[in-house]
Amino acid sequence: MKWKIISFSKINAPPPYTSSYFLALIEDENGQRAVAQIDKGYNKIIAIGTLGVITENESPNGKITAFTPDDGIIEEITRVAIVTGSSRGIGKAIALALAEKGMCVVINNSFRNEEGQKVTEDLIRAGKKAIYLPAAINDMLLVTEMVEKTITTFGRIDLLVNNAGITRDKKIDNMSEQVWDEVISTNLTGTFYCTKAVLPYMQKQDSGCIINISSIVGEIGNVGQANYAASKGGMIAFTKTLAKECASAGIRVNAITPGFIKTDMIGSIPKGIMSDIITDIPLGRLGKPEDIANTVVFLSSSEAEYITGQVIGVNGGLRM
Amino acid sequence: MKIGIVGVGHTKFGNLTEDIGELMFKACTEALKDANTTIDKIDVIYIANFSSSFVNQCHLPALLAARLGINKEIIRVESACASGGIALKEAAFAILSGIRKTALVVGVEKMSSTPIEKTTYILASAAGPIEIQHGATFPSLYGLIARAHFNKYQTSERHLAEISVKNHLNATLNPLAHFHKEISVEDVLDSRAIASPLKLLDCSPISDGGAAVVLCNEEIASHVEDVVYIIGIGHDVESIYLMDRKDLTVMPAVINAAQKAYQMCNLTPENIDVAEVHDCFTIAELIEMEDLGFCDKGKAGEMINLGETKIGGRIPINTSGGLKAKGHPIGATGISQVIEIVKQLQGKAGKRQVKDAKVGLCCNIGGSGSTAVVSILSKLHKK
Repeated sequence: MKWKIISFSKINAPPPYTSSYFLALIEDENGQRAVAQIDKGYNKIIAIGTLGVITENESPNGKITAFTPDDGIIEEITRVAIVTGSSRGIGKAIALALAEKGMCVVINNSFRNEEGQKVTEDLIRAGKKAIYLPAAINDMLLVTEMVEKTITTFGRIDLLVNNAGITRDKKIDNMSEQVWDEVISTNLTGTFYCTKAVLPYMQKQDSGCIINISSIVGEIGNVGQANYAASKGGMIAFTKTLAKECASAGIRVNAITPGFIKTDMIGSIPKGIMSDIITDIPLGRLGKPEDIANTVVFLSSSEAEYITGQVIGVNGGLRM
Repeated sequence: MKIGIVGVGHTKFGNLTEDIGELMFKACTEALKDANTTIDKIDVIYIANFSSSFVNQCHLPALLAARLGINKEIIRVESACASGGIALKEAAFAILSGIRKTALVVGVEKMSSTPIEKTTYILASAAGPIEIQHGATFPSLYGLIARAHFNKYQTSERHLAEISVKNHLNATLNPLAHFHKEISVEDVLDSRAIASPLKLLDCSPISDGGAAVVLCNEEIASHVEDVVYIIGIGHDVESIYLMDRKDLTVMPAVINAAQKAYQMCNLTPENIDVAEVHDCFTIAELIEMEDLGFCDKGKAGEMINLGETKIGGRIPINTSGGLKAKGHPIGATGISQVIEIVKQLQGKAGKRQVKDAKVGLCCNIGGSGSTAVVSILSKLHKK
């Protein structure tokens, strides 16, 4: 039985939906009418009079009628990700993993250097789509420029990974205001700036994903890291609030709290202390940047479409 | 039919601090004062309210009795966004029966303190179960109507934007309105998509507010100065489902309710000087302009192009700012429309006064237009 579209409206994801869809009124050859949902991927071929078939689908509200236009091919979108602080360490691993999954990636660090250039060039040589856009994330103007250049280059933004972060460790007695501010302004305010800059584009698309790379230190604290712990704890609270605010626009926001990951950042920890730390980790080893990257790949995929506002600990069991 | 409106009370509309009891109380006491009467002279009270779920308060009649310190017959009326219009009709008919001589009708809704997710969920409950199951929202149901009208009559998003711009401009002249901000057609067209083709500035806001009127029979009204009469009122309900509507560009309930109201007072659309029309979404105002007979079917776009619905035009519509800009506390809306027309007919509408307004009309609809109440008001009763 053929059905045709009588009228349609594209709905901007109200709860409990996480992404947009079309609501349509359809009619069969006998004049029988029905309400149906249409996948937003059919955007370009939906019109009054478009013919198609119906099937019964599952939705958050139960069984629904889904309309599939004839000759309809769901438009394939190449997704675009910005990964801040991705010239090395965890950020680099995340960027490589996302590119491996076919995403266009924006490589970023605070200022132009060979490291960032090389990561980008290597990706392009391997047939991936990447662009190097250095920008200090604690400067709103530079962040806005980076996001605008991303749009000019790739046309959209599907994923923002707020990964860039710094440490300036001191015990509170010796922690100057300047050192406190430096860490808060990069780790927390930088996250705010990047998020604010990408949101209008995600809202326009009715979809998007933001992943904040927090830290186990933001959950349990750590001696000598009051500034870092506060910034990472702040990112967790920021994640949960944003998840609530953005759910209706089809944008998911989650945080990952890495445990001890083998990067330059933990290079300064003395060997003796490091072996004590490893003893405390149930899985018996330090994490690899790829452990975080794999979690980002999952959280940004459609397989995680029902996950938002969550804090995912990737720490080998160090904190349960 | 001749029912006197002898007092009106209207709180500010917007995001208010008052609770639902206080909103009812304020509107009622103001209306009683305006009518120069006291609560003991009122035979019956009707409360129009859409949903108790917004504030988890189910027993509004007893709450109002507590706030007013009275024992009385008080009835809550619910019919989605048309609750106010229907409460007015029921009160008028109770007086017409001769059993009641006076009635107080208060409409109220407290919405702004509810989280938006819950608000969307509650609002959707005025749609049919099958529609809700398919993820329909009211903007999307009206989006279906708008798309069908665009397709059939070559109207456009720009026509809808003009409605929003007009109503926002009118609201700047109404001190009680939710918004006092002039907007441009471009502002509307550039605003965020909610449910295509409708955008944020095509949609009425979530508001709090209360509105009340004191009604009385012809005998009592004849002794009151400045009385405005309800001379016709029609009500019709059809299927809750949009899919049951043969032509999406028509609201049969509006046509039927209007016909009953016009017949009751022996008037035609040509007699209407000013109207308050239910613009929960801009497309609703456009459809109702046609279905109320202000122009031929499909010609509302032309009427908008000619500026005929602006203050100073042929039939000024939504001089109060309408639901779009005055605000839409659901239960209060139908009563608020009546109050605007009363003020227009009394010549008390201030800067938004329509010159020589003698007869006014209110059209209050519920859901996607499946319930409609049309009332016609006149200062001088015309047989």
